[in-house]
Amino acid sequence: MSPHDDAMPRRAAPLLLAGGLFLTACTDSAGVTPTAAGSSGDGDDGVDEVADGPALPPRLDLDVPDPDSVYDPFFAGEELPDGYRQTLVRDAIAPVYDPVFTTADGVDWPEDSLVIGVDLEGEARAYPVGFLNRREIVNDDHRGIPTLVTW
Amino acid sequence: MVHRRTSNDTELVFGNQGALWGNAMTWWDTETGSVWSQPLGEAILGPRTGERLELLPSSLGTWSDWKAVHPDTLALDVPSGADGFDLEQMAIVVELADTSVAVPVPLLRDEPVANHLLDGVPLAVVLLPETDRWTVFSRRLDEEVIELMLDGDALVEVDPTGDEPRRFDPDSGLALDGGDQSLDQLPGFTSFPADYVTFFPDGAFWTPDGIVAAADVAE
Repeated sequence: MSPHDDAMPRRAAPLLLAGGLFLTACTDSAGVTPTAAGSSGDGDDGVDEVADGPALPPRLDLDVPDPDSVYDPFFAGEELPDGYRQTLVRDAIAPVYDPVFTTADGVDWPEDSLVIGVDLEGEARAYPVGFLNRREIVNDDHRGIPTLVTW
Repeated sequence: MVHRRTSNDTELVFGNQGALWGNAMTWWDTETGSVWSQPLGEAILGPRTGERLELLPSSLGTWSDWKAVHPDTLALDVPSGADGFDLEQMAIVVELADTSVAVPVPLLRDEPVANHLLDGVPLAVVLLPETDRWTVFSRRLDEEVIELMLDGDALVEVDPTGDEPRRFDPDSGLALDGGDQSLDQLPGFTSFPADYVTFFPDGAFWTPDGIVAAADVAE
């Protein structure tokens, strides 16, 4: 769904296979600053409290295997559905596996910038589209509900 | 889109498969390696083929509107428009077929619209100074090719053929002032100039004074 899927040249795939990652989207995971979790927590329940603000969730840090160590139907030679095009190696555009949250006052996003908003279990979370354009996938845990935010 | 990342009572973690299906993104789950279609939320290859994730409610809107309704919202702790890189150090790259051009971001600070003809394709790379959002547009409207400049909050046709210059939204390319022709977006991505030279040795850099071959920069 992201325009950046198409942005990656097909010929770059072998380069990426050779380890030549070069897109901004190809950075190591997170790209998130560790200010929210661990900065003011009480250390017991892993939930941070901000004075006069909402509680911050504990930092999620999902265990992710090396993509090359996991079965890949494409390289295994499975019959591909029509229209399937493998343009990059897995996670060349690095997903977020360890999202960190702060309060609305803790970010300086432009007021008119787009966000994906999620309101579950009485807690609202916003994910900026400008960031999702480059990372495309955020694995999250929203008050106990495992969520997948994609763009 | 937002999905519940559980299937058959198993919590799954998803990565980016790096493939398109139906021109949409695909994921892989780290447990079985099955490939999933984003718009369907359904596995299309691998052991979990046919399994489907539950779509959860979400909305797309402006940050200010979201905050107005959800004043206690949490925010993913990241910059809105970048992911930790200094945009000033980067170039916006457009690649079409076997040819490409890179527009260094600092040059767009002086001239926010780079009009270029890439292998016969007229395009414009636009950087909005206030938000740092960038977009690539085709400059072709039907059989006509136009040149663009930024004028306040609008992309405006240079040297209009009609009575009034056509105006476009610089984010979406949609026609303003009731016009019926909109600009098509083209794909682009950001790269460090040095990496661009390495991986696109036949590429070129745009400058206001003309094109500079990547090979010349490398030397």
